[in-house]
Amino acid sequence: MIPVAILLLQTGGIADLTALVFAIAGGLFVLGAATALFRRDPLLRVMGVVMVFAAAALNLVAASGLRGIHGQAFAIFLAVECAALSVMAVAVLAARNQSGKDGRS
Amino acid sequence: MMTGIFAQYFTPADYLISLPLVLLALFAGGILVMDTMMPRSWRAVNGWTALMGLAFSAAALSRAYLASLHPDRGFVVMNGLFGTFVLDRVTLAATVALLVTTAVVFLITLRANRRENELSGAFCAAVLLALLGMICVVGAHDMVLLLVSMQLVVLALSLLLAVSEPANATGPQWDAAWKLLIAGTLSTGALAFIFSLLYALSGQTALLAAAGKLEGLMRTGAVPQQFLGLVAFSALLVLGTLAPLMPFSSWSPFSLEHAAPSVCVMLAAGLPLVAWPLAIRLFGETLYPIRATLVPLFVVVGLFSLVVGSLAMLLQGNLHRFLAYAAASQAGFLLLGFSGSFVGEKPAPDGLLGVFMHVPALAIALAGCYALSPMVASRRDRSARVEDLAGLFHRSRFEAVLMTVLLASLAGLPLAGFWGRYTLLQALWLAHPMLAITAGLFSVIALVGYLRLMVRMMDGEAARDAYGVPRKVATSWSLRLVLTLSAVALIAGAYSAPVQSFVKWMLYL
Repeated sequence: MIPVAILLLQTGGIADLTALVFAIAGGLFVLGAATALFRRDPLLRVMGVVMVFAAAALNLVAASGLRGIHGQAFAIFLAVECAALSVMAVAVLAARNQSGKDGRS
Repeated sequence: MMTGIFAQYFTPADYLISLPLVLLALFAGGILVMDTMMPRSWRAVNGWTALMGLAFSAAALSRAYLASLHPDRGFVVMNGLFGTFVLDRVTLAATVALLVTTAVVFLITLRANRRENELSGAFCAAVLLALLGMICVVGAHDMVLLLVSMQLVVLALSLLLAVSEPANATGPQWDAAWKLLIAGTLSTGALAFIFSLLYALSGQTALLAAAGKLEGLMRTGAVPQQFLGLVAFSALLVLGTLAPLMPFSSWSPFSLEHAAPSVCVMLAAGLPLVAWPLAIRLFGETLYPIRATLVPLFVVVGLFSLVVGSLAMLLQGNLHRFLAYAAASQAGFLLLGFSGSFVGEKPAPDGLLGVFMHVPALAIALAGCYALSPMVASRRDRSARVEDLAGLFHRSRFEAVLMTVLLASLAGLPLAGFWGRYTLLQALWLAHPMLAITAGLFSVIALVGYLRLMVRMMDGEAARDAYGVPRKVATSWSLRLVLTLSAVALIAGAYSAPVQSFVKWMLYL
């Protein structure tokens, strides 16, 4: 999502597009938070949290069109945090399933 | 020291600030490597090495403190790592408190009857890495560093919960680790979203600079309503899922129920020491210009936490769960008191003073209770039940007295926990009298829960029923540790003036 947003921002129409991207990011954030809080499937929960991070990254990339390059660097840090979460989540889920659970929380 | 072109990228201040953190990371890595080469029976070496890491880190911190002492002005704030980390008085005090808490964690594990996987390499490394993240959270003045360190704390604490039991155990520790991971990461994600909005408005990642821009925009009325709505929703998520302000998350009582006492101390005593400096930096400084949006959230979340915590603690049969709900009740009380300071152009000093007087007292009392819990448990392989306390005064008088002192401090009776509560109630009374009455009422309900436990400990009938229950499994060392914590609670209650002066110095009041 981040490279796509960068590409879109580089192709012009920055102000209108930025407003659109902010709106999409807001929707993505609400959807992600709801998924993480209310779904019971562990993988969907992880995806919900990742969507929350993606929404923040999208905002940062959109804002960096107006505010400078820092936002994109910040977004990369968030992507790394997401990767760390995913690795840890997979490890915990695998261990939990191995210890006799059915994988549902 | 470094010279030439590199001097501008790595200054002496950077070196002094980063040294305690680098030492913790090095010791964590070293313990992991050492653990692969040692037999299981030598695991105590991991604990002693970790304690040595804490000592080195404390020495490096004291070096940074001495370097920032000015002959006329005393302690001067030290900026480092491109202004992302600031060693001010709050950071210094919180770091010292965190180092002490972590030392207590290792001392409990080394000297008490530890569980099988405590003091494994992964356990010790997770504690040190969690501490590293916590120190960075406390000192961070930049959005990126703050988020990265928050994520480190969440990952390290999840790992700690998971590895404190053997990997093939069917125990609930994996569920607990999973819940902590999801709740903590969601909290970090919501905070990341707030920061992304703040960056979009201000173009800054430095917290104070962003706060300045936000204040200017609020004055001119240039902040869109959608921004405020999204920030409110995200702040609700952060407050609801952030571990120490945990009213909405169900993971904490669940995870603490089965966790080892050392893990409980790290979670229940360590996290408030991080969360409140963070809350003050985040809500009391950076987002203070939008206080009109934030205060109703504090009130709602605080009341929810206070009511649910105070009522739920009355119904608990497990001592760890009882203490977890007690901590939720305390978090609600603190949040309500904190909201009382959001009245003027700057946060009112009384509320902040109350928060910082109450949080250390809370941490001391919770750490002491969790450290004492294996000594009063009827079964060595399980955490203590509330029923195990019945007749304790007649079986193990010394432990019963210590537990009474710690519970009394938690309850807000005139010990260490009293003065913070009193100051917070005063601040709340001035700002919102009705809320102060509600907070006082639910504090009384919580007091009933604590008193019930104390009365149960004195119950002679129960002591006769419990004849044949194995006596305490404590060692003199761990008792001495709890005795020290209880003594601190007593002394801080009797002589509150030095504590108050210290907190005022810390907050520049």
